[in-house]
Amino acid sequence: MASYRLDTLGLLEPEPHGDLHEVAGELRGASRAGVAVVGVPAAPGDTALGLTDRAMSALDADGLLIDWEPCELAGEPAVRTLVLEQLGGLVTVVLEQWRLVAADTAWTVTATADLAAWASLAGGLRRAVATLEVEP
Amino acid sequence: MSSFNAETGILTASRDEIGALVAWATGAAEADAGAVDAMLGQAGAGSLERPHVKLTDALAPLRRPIVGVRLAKTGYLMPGWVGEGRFTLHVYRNGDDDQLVSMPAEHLVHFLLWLLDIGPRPRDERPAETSVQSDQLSRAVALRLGDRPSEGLLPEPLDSAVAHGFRDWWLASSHWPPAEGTPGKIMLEAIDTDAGLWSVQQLEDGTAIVRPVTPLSTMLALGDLLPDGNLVDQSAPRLPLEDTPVHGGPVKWVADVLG
Repeated sequence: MASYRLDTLGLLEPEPHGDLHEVAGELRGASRAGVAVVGVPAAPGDTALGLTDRAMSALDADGLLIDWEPCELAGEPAVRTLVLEQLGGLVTVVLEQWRLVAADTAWTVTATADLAAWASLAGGLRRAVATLEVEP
Repeated sequence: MSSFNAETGILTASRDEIGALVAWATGAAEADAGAVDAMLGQAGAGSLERPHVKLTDALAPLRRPIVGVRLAKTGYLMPGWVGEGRFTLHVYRNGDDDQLVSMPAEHLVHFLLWLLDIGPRPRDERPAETSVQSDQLSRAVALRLGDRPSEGLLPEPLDSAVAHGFRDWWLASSHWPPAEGTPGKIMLEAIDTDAGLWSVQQLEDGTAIVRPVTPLSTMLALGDLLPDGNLVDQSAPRLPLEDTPVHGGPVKWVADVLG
């Protein structure tokens, strides 16, 4: 299985908690903010678009797809999506996700935070995501 | 025929009946309490004295609103209220089946994004700003809301976007008792087209600036309808009665054009 490197830029905890590199320092939010990187073995024929299509088809009524665009991450074609999700009935969180296939691995990179904190955190989270490197 | 969903707390009734309930609950207008009671009883929602617990939740922001919301969509203005941690909206439908819909205030943006059908749009290059005469813009929007042609009223490419790819027009505003030195209101106006979303900034000189906006920036702007605590005068007991929305209705300039 491939691994990844992420420059946390001093904004995120270097060691993930579960899959999530949490935003460093004191941050009061209803949900945990940060960047999660998840890789699973890619199936033959998997593409960034295919991964995204499957994920978006599985969105439930609490998830709203706000936007998507093709892009590039870790030197590979990727698809970026922006989803607003209502969690637990009370918390509204933003999930900005990148999906790509690299080194035979299907990657989902998720930047997340409460909606109320998104405008102030999104830029830093995106900068950290942009440093992602995949290592076979 | 009124009805009440005890699971969701949604009250369905005629526009006048919900309007009377709203007037009674907000205290901002006269209402026939007897008629409201009869409607609630028939719907199975209890009474004004002893409303169903879900209706109590729905009425909480009307009894003590901190933020007044006005949402205009598809040519109709709908009143809403935020207070006691909840958001309630009088949803205008066909007039005989309007709804009083309530949810935690935190859900406001999610609900509006769903209601306004905000989602992915094309990313084709569009001019950063288009200056138009407000009355021409209003006329074009009103014509399209009535499914009538509007071609030639606006500069390109806005004209084609509105004439051939019009999806909707909406306006959302909220106002609240402001903390000292802070604004007490916000208003967002947008035209939604197949070519993308456009924000509209009305100027005092009778012109409007139309700018392309993304779904993301629209989402963030809608989030501003719910003011941060530091923008609200925390000593204010509620939104003043004279500022509390009660009734909605057809948007005048749309109705004027469509006759």
